[in-house]
Amino acid sequence: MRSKFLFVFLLVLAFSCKKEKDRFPGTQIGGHACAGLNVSSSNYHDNSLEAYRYARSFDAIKIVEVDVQLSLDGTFWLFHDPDLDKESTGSGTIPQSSDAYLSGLNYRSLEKEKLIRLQDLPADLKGVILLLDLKESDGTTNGLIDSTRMLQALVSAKNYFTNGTLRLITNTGRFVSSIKQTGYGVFFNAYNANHFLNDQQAALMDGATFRNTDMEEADVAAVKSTGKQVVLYDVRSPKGIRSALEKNPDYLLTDDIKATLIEKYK
Amino acid sequence: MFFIAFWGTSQDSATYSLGIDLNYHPQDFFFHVRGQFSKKHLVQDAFLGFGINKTIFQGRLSPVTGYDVGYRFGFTNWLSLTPYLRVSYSFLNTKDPSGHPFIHTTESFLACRLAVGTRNKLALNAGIGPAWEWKYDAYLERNTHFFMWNYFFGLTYYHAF
Repeated sequence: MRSKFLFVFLLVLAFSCKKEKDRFPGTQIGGHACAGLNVSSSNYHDNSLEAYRYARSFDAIKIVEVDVQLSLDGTFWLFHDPDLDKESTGSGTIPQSSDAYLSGLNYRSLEKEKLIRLQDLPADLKGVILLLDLKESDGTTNGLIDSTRMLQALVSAKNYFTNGTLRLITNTGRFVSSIKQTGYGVFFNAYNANHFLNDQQAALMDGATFRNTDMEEADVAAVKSTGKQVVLYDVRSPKGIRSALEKNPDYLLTDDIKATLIEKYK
Repeated sequence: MFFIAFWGTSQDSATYSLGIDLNYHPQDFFFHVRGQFSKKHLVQDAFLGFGINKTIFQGRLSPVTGYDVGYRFGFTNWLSLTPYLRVSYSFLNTKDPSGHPFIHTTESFLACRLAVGTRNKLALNAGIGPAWEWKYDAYLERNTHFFMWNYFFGLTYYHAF
């Protein structure tokens, strides 16, 4: 009886001391819109300071994506939607609003997080990649923000952050050479592998971002074979997270950090 | 308002029940097994359970335990409303090899239960309250907590003995 008890105890001890295995060492995990977008399991509203701090609290998070929009005063603000009305206490759009107006707004969430400027984030990146998803609309139906103001804001952000890497997602492919000269790596937000590989500016880009459902494992391999990096996003369920990791992208921007860590380390 | 406390029926003898429930919570769907002790208007539950998505669909045990204490307003012998307080604790091991894989969550809720039945009861539950997630913060390089608001909706089945 005593030896049986000892055997069970040693078995439990062996399992509890088992070295954890990284099942997907080729893929680094990142937070989408800080710590998740449009998902109930995210503790905080996307693109808030609280969500950024939460994402950064995980050692495994090596890249944080934020959505940035330029205000009337030429300041980058973190906000995902084109309109302020649905998710915040404000109305209108970020590009048509002043800093003074935006600084008084908060999200319509239980925590009522404040809207923040890009430069409200801690300046010390401590080794991670900060990926700016640049929303280029000027707040009108088809208008785009002025390139000079955009580049000035990018330079200002570049000078603010330290100890990390700044990269940018472009949805239009405008001014890629100029943006790269300011020191940013540039990713193209593409519909699928062909869209990216056939784009005339693909050679200038460091890689591309894709929705997980738009890419198969072979598509990821095809893009990586050209020397470009692949970032997948839009994963929430355990099944979606698992399928994205199995495609072996360079980065996975997840909407559920805890569920992704469980899939990665088994 | 004063008389509302004396409204309806109450039971003088103690009743013991066992129950199971399914809760929707922002972090997961939780399954609980619970024991209930009630005497007069006072109702107390202790429960133990797990997160279904993490435990079953991801194979990582995500346990939770908690305690409810409430005051039962019995409208009839088969219908009651119980406002109650819940405190709970849950735990997750992410197995992140950094050496700090554990996430602890303590929560408290102000909740309400509408129960139908006598010996076999079905109850609808809902609650909202503050939560604190405790973990190691890799950016600050120390243990810290994150404050948030959480809520739940649930359906419970009780069998009284």
